[in-house]
Parts: sequence; C-alpha cells; structure tokens
Amino acid sequence: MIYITYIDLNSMEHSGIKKKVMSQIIVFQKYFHCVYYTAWCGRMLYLMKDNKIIDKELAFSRQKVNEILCGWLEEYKIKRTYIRYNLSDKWFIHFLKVQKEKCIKSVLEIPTYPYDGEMAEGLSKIEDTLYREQLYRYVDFVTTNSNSKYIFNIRCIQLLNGVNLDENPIVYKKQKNGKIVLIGVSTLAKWHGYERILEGLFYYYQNKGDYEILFKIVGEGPEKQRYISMVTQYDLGAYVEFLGKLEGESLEQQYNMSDLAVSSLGLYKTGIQEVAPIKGSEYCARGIPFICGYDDMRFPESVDFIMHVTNDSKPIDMYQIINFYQQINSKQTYQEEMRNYAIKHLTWDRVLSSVIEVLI
Amino acid sequence: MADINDKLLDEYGNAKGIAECSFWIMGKLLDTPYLKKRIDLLNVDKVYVYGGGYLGIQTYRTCSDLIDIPAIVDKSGKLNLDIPDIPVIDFDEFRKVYKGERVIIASIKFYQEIYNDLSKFVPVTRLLFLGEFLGGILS
Repeated sequence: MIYITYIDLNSMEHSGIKKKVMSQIIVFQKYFHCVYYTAWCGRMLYLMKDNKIIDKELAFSRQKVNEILCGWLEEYKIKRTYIRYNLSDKWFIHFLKVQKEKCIKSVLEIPTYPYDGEMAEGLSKIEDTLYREQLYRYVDFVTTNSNSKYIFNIRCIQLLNGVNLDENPIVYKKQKNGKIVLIGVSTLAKWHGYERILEGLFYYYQNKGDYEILFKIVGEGPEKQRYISMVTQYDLGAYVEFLGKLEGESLEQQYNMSDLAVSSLGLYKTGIQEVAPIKGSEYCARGIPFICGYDDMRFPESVDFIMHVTNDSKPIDMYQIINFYQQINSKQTYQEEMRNYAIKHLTWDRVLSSVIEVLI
Repeated sequence: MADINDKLLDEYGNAKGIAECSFWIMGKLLDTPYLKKRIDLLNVDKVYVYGGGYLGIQTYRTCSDLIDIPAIVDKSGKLNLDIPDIPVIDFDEFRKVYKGERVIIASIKFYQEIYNDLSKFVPVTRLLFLGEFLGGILS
C-alpha cells in the first residue's frame, strides 16, 4: 500500500498534517503491513517507509510527481492507495486513470470540504474546477470530515479527525485562583480567528473583572504579524504571549499551564460551519476544555467541555469564558471524562475502520 | 487535434514546472539564515556545484561565503554569463580533481543527464539536486 501526499511533510508549516498522516499510517500498517508513503520536499519526490527513504526522483512539477507515481505503482507492486487530495489537474486525473486500469483499490481523502473559499483565484483554482469533474470516473470513495454524502459525484465515507493518544497525554492542571490561561495552538491562519479573542481581551481589560485572563499563542503563520499589531494597538502586551512553534516537551509544559484551549473561531471566513479539526480531538484527549466557533461533528451538543461561540467576527465575551471556566471547574472529573470520550470515540483505529473495510 | 492539445498542455505544464521550481530555488537562495541552517543540517564544508547556468551561478554567489566551493563544473567549461571571478572547470578536469566531495546539481532540465554522467565516478550518496540541498529530506 502507498499513502500518497503531495506536500512537503518535512516543513514546519505541515507538521500537523505530518502527525495526522503518520497516525493514519500506523493504523494502515496493522492491516496491510508494508505501507509506503510519499513526501514532496525540495522538489524531490520521496518514497518513504518507516521513516527511511526507499526511493527518490526529481519532480519539479505536479506533472512529474504524477508520472513518477505511475512508475512506482508498477515498480513497488502497489495494490492499494490512500491519497491525500491536493487539487485536480490533467496529470492527477491521468494518474488516477492508470491506477484504475491496474485495478488498484483507492480512497481519496479530501481534508477540507468545501474548500473553494480557502483558495486564491488563479490557475490552480481554474484547473481544479475543470478537472475535479472527472474524479468520479476513477475514484470509488472519498473520505471527508464534512457531512456530505457525495462529493463530486463520489460516495463519501465520513472521516472525522482522530487523535493519537500516546502523543497527547492527559494534562493535570491545578486551578489557580484569579487567573485563567487560554492557549491556542495552530498555524495561525485566517480561519483560526484569534483576533476575536484579542478584541474580547481589549474590551475586558477596559473594565477588568475578577480574573486575570492570559492568552498564549503557539505556532507560526500568516496572521501572526496582524495579531502582534493588534496586541500593540490594544496594549495587551502583558496578557498575550507569542511562543512561536513548540513541539514535544516545551509544548507539553505550556499545555500543563493552561486552563482552556482555543480552537478555530474564524471558519465563517471560509464558509464552513460544520467541521472536525485535529486540534479539537487533541484538546479532548488532553482533557483541556475548549472554545470553538463551529459545530464539531464528533461531539454531541450535550457535552459540557466545549464552549460554543457564534461563527462570525464578533469579539469573544470574556465573561462568557469566565462562566464556562467556573462551570467546568466545579466538576472534579471533567479531565478524565474528556480523556475517556477520546478513548471511546476519537482514536485513529476507530476513525479509520470504515476506510479499512473498503481497502481490505 | 486532441492529441496536439494534449501535448501542448504537457509542454506548458513542463515549462511552468521548471519556472516555478527555479523561482522557488532562487527564493530559498536569497534567505541567508535559512541557507546557514541547511548547511549545518547537511554537515557539509566543501561542495562542487554542477551547472554553469543561472542557477549554478546564483548558488555560487549566495553560498560561497558560507561554504567552500572550489569551482562550478560545467560540461562546456564555461558559465552562461561572462563572470571572470567565478572559477569554472569542465567535466574532464572535474573527474581528475574530484576527491569524494558532495556535488550539487544546479540544473533542472538536464538533471537526469548530469546525474547519469556523474554517477559513473561520484557515489550517488554524494550527489544532491539543488532543491534537495535547499529543502529535501536528510537521510
């Protein structure tokens, strides 16, 4: 089997995706043993297995990538593919056609749907719009984290983001009177919408309440400069900390010092209301209650460890956060409850079971 | 007609790919702190750059203060531009002086041809495409 990605799995920017891909591969390995995966880094296409380079070829374009993949299907006697979708073009369609002719079982993962709102106008968008209409001829199943039954006329398997429990241990935070620490871990893209927290803090500190509320921003990304400017403009330097990209122990430390996590608050910008981002499952596994501006399909409305806010540009009301914090902390076992929920519903083994059924 | 359209699209795709790859490389070469990091990660102190085209020249200009580059190697023994202060040697001379250093292939279009020529006497583990040098997976 080969797990195909068209991205630079090596780059910091894609570290979240890499984590997800690797977690999925661990599950596939249990069923299909020999699982290769691809990464496109430095314009070289790498065929990897168990973190080792098996093969590599110069691939200066997506056209070349797909040509090389056609060769590898043959050379490595591939029987199944799982493809992380990265838009359609003439050569991707050709690749799919080749694998169909070889009777290779294949599932296409569309990580975000609908995605038109996230794409810049230009050649890639035009190409994708034109060529994705042909996907149904060559692909039998699509996995999606949306509620769609069909995408581009292809049957969907709902694949909500899971979590690797080993990599996301439970956090035992001791409540500290008078202080609430919020943490946001992301690639700081427009849909994370952290400006809503910053604006909320600005209004809160104009007439400060009983609590000191701090916001730790972990990650690097396109919105960072804007957030930094807002912090300066709103004079929030004492309450907002930019920690940059953190991994491993340093990230653990920050989680251990945080009370609540901030998930995406700006999905309205891309026209999305229902979604299941990776971070939500990680926060759940760690036992950190979180704030989100979307409907997370993995959790029923009745769970009390998620604070829902509107999916729009309004500043987040810090008094609402204080109430949420007080309510959740009045319950002694909320962290264990969150962890148990993740064990029962969010492991990758559980999440991928329908995909395995199709590929087996 | 459909066949010609198909070929035309392939050719445009190919040309666009080369242009995008060149721009990506040029961008990375302009980022000196990033270059330093990559050189440290790759643990190299001396390399030959193969390819006397624009990419080879730019690699020499941006990296020669950070790493020892004895010369640019080009089949013709010449650079694409007349630049007297950049040392350049031809393929035969390179074969004589080569002592196991890493070789960066600074050509997209002729990469495979150069790779095939060089791999006759340079261990393939010492050959690196320029893009790989700048962003590839380190084995």
